[in-house]
Amino acid sequence: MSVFHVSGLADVGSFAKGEQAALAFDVLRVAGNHQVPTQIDLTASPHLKPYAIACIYAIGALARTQSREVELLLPQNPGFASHLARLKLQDVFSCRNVPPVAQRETNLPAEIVRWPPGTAAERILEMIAPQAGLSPGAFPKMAATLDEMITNALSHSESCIDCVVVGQAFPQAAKVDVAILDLGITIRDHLRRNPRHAEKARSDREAIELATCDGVTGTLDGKLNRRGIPNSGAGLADLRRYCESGRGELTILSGNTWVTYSAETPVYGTLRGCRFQGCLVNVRYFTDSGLQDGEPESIL
Amino acid sequence: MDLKLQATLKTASNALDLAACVIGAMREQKTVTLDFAEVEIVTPSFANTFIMTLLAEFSVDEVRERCRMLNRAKHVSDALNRAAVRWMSGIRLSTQMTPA
Repeated sequence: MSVFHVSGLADVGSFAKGEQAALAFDVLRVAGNHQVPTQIDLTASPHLKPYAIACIYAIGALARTQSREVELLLPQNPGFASHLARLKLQDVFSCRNVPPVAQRETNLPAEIVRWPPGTAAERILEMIAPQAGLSPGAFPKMAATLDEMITNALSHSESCIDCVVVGQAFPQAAKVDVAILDLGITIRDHLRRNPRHAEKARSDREAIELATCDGVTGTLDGKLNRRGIPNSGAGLADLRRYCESGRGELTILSGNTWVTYSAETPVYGTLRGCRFQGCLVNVRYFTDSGLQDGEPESIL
Repeated sequence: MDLKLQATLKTASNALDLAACVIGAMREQKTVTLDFAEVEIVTPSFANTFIMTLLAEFSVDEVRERCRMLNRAKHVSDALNRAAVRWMSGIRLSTQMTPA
């Protein structure tokens, strides 16, 4: 029996501040290594952010693909236990003593999104974003960028769990966090399949930076992607630009590196001693920024 | 040909379908009017695929003159113009690229 004891340290770190020590590093490591313990012990954990909960959920989903069942020991912290119950982690784990809870409007069940994603992005944001006080006109752009990230994961990752999406609104901070996670190939692996980019994606950091440039895609020249669709490499570049305009923070973690883009200088971090086999995209939308896109040249 | 577009424009597949419709009409020398009045969401994938598919067939001037895109909200117009800017900068759909 293998037990994964999740640290009792609070998940208070910030990708944007490079605070690796205070991030749920143990959770990232286990999920990124595709480890499936027989039990995940959250009893000592006071809180986990959406990205970490997405990792936990992904482990449960991975176990299901292997016809295995993982027992999840819920936190002793009643608030956190209730939070996880509202997220319905019991859907992919064997849980005892799940507290009965009413669904809140500030979060929604963690879910596996499969191809085609349909209206998943709109549905997710419709449930949680209004609680964080959306500025006028913010929703369409948020929905468009989230749809692109989910579509990316489902198109390129070759993940056996498709992608896991976990979202949460933080009304007092006027922000919405959405984590999109897959356990497939890394961004580096994806881009290196395209000879056009192979030499420029030698490391995970180079690959992530390249992937956020306009026009960069791992889909081969002259070809459709594995979903039978042409690619133009716009999604990540568009979201990066959105966040760098001050309307959010975009963290992309794949392989041994993460990069966070915001209105500040990009922040880079390294997962010491492990690689995240897959990709985690964590988007923090600032719902009250009121900022607008810079106008492109008017051509049409 | 007049088309009133739906509230959400997403996926490259949908963009290809719309582009095929528009291209067919333009090849018959018809003028196309696309009404974006109800469009709220346009994803970059849709915008890129639609605009780049059109521009692979017609010049910017021809698209501007014979494919009228009316009643666009600012963010919708920006998404479409960004796609056109990408085209002008040399970015193409993967299917429009020639393998090296």
